[in-house]
Amino acid sequence: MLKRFLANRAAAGGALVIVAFVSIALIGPSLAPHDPLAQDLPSNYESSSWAHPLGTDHLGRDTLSRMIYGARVSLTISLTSVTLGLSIGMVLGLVAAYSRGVVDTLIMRGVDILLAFPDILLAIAIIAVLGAGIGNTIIAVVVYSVPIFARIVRGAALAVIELDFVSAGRALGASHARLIVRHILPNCLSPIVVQATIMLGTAILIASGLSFLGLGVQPPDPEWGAMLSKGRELLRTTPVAAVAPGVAITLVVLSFSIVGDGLRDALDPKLKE
Amino acid sequence: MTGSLGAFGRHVGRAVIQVVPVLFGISLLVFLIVHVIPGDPAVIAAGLESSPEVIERIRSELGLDLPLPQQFWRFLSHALQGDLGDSIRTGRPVAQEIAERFPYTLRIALGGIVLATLLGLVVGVTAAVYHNRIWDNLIMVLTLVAVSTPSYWLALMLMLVFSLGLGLVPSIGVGTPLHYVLPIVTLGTQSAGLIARMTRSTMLEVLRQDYVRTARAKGLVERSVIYKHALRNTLIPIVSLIGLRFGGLLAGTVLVESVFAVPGMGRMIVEAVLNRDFPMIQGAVLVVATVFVLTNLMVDLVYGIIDPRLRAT
Repeated sequence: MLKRFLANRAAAGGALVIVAFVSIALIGPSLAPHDPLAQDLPSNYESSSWAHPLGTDHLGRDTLSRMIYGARVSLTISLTSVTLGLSIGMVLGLVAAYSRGVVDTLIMRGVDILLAFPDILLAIAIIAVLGAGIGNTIIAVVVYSVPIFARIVRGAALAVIELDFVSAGRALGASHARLIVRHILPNCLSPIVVQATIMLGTAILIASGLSFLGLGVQPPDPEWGAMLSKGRELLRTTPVAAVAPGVAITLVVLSFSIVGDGLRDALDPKLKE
Repeated sequence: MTGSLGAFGRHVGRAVIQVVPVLFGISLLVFLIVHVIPGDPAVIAAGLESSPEVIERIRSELGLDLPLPQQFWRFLSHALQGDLGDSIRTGRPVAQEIAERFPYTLRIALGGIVLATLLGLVVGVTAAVYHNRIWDNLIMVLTLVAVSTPSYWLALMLMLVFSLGLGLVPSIGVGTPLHYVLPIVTLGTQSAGLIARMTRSTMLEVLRQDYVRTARAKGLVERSVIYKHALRNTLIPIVSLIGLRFGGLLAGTVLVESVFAVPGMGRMIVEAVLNRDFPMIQGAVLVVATVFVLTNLMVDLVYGIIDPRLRAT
């Protein structure tokens, strides 16, 4: 499977970008040339130089250093929210598929209702209730992702539940929990893994959008979306500082999508046209 | 004939019945926003510095002293009559504020969906026709980039190149039709990418079907095979995606309007959240979600018309 994945050049390239992104997030402090929070007002809105390769922002903070620290913020939000969203969504989806009937209807109607708040709107509504900040941004992304995971897991589980080995397990007297955990779940992992990978990118997109609007990560914490919130001033003064964070977001989100697609092909070669 | 009309009627009925609980659930969640936030809703509605008398007056005026189910009933019946309460910040009716701002958002969202559909179809068909060749690969990469690019950043880059750089279009505001070009392009790009990818994959499937081979065997020119026979049969999943994307575009205006200083619903929602203007938040979120659900209902109904198989069941 790994061989199939790596034979896909695009997927391998995407994986490389993600490895770089995670490394930068982990060892960021020793990479950054400056303190990401250190203000230096006299030298604000500087364009690129040897001291500040990506220029400085409105408070004279070094853009490159803030980008490096921003990787850590984005990775934290993305990993935490997808782990939580996946766990909750998986339980809901499995329970819905396994129990059918009223429980299924209730869970799936709930999912329909949450999905009726399109895209970032649901996240914004959560922030409206909880207030801004990193923790609440994570919660907003979790709520955004739960219905998506629940629907995918339910669909995958429904396809497996009818298969003979599940009936065999049931006939042998396996408990509900054992049937779900040992028989059903392992056989519907592929779509879940693929969706989770893509969602790691989507989470960054949603969180950075919130931060851009001033509803997510709050100043002075460095976050790629938040770094663009003074976008129009940056365009006039330091275009490079407006370009860099967007390139970083696009590259990371793109890589998660490509790796997700690559995993889909590698996990299930039948799907590939 | 009456039989198929009856079946179509049942299809309509089923679609409508499925929408009602969703709309009810949306209203309930939106209603609950003010009741789950920390703090007393009456104090929030009156403003934090109001005297206790004012707060109590507001409490009974807004029915906040009633039991919760009764309050929800009140909220729902008022909303159905177009009364969404008054904005805390401006004191004006929320419905009126929305009515003033919705047209801007609708223009951008409609422009975006038209652009995304046209571009997505053309690009997707092209990719399918040139399957596995350089054009296909290039398009697949570009569509993935389009889907992964944050809209607010794309907005800034378009502004950098086309307004500040080339001076072709104005950067912010809504004074002239030209002002709408960049917001529409920004908003439409991501959906164009998604529609192109979907068009390509369904088209590839359809091109393998027997009736396409038959059409080719009859000696039809390739253009006619693709556009008359194949494309028509790819439309159903694409129409469904377009319906779903319309909601995404409406929500996407939140980001795009902020960059281009468009005084639409999107910016209104952000301002309302920043100002903790809860009646505005509730009204705007309710309207966007409802419009989204009703759009998808309409798509469902269009299905019944374009796909005869649905009428038969």
